[in-house]
Amino acid sequence: MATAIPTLLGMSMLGFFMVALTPGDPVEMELRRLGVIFTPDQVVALRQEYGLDQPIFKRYLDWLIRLLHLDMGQSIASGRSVLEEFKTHLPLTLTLASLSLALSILLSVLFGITAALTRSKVLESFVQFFSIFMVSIPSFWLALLLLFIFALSLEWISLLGSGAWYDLVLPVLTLSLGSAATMGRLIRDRILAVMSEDYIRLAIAKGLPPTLILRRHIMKSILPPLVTNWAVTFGALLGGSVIVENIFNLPGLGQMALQAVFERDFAILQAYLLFMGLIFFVSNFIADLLNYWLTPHFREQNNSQMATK
Amino acid sequence: MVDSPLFKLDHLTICQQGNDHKPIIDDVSFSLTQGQRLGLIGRSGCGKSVTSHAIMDILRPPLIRKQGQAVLQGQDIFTLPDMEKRRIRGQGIFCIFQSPGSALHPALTIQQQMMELSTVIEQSPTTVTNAIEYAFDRMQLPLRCLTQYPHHLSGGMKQRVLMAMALLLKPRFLIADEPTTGLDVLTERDVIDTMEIMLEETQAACLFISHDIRIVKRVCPDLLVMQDGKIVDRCTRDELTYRDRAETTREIIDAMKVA
Repeated sequence: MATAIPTLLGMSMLGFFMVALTPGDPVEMELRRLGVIFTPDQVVALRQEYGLDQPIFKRYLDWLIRLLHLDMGQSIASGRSVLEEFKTHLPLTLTLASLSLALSILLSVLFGITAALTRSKVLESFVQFFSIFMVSIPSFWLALLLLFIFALSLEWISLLGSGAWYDLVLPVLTLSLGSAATMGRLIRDRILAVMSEDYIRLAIAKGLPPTLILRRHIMKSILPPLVTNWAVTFGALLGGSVIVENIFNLPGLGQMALQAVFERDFAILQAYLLFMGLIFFVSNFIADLLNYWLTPHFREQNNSQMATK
Repeated sequence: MVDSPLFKLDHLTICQQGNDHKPIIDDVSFSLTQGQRLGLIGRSGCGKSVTSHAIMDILRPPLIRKQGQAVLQGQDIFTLPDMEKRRIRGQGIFCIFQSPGSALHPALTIQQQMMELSTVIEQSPTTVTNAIEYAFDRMQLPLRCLTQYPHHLSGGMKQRVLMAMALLLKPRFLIADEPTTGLDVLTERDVIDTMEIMLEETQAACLFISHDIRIVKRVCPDLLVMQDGKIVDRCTRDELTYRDRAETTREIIDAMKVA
């Protein structure tokens, strides 16, 4: 826990400077976009208004202090506060990422368990092929492929989206299939590894029913690495939404972020990067807490380690 | 009175997948009568543990059984459907595996691991709780172990937890696969003592696997000597020192004398 503060500080620094040092002036971009003819004086005045004339370190410190009051500045493009922008765009992205995570967990658990337990050669090679296939496909390509099949060829859904819940079906599929394949393989490999542990042999020797062995003994030992994997995947899904939201035209965080890149909307981008870092940080933290609870045999070790830190 | 064997292993041969010419277990046969104790000795890696896994039918690839029968009370375990196999495991044949450190599930309490036996012995939870208390008493385990996880217990205690499981299951045939490996001499003696109590109480036949001839001699009147997957010698413990024993047996005896 002692590492939390430096980590967060480092994240905020990286996010802030990466954006602030990008070539391109937000004020000029904005004025050009609006098609306004501007004088050099106007530019200077606007830059002053947004505080862009200040030295970069002072800007960072100001930003950091305002951040503590949840004030992340204003979007240059829309004029609304960054917090407002997040409030409008976050729910959609969060829904998208959560549904995708849920679906990939469901698929990968089914996938992994069947592949490990049946040990049928046909299924195994199918799983192998499918996972390599899914891992190799870039998500934008998969998105276009799904659109082509379901919107253009089968015409099951509208290409433009209809504002209903089923607009989310294809984006969720796009996001989850890839991670489901990787996770499925991970689960299969973990189960096969755990099966040759002595305590699983003992469980079998006791004459316990296979369902109980799977549910209790096997699942309990493969869960910790999976929980860590799920935490990382959740962050990756949120990040992955940039591509998917733009292809499926969903007004979520990803779309907001990409637009902010084009418009050099510093305040939005800086907040977005910090938010992403924060999500990874928090989800990993939750995973660590869960694992702490799931592995009583590591608990004492960790406690003594933490005490020395 | 002629005892018909309780358990009979016939011509067990095990190979590594794709390598049929050099079997890991080569045509091993033996039998045990009700309550008989049979020792299986041999150096590490000679196939003792593989034999016990094979009898439980839990071999994992790349090891595969080429031929053989394991007959418990007239039923060949290998040919039974999975459901029937499961019925035999536990109350028919139970196995206490090597290294108690890894034989208990690290993330389940001892109580959880004992209580789940209720599905196997088909008794009510209260009966099982009472049986556990009795078994712990017999195995000289304090009841507070129940709420603890395996890593809280010493090696000898873990081994005695496994013995307590055997007391609950009352198997007809027990395989003890190197139950004293990694224990100091005093703990070893305690574990063997409790095992004697357990065997007496359950009246189980026992295949006692070890590389330590001193212990095997103490527990078992009859012995098998294994070398490179083959049974190279069979004798009673009194015949061990005879001059015409197989070479491996003599080697083992000599090694013990040096120590």
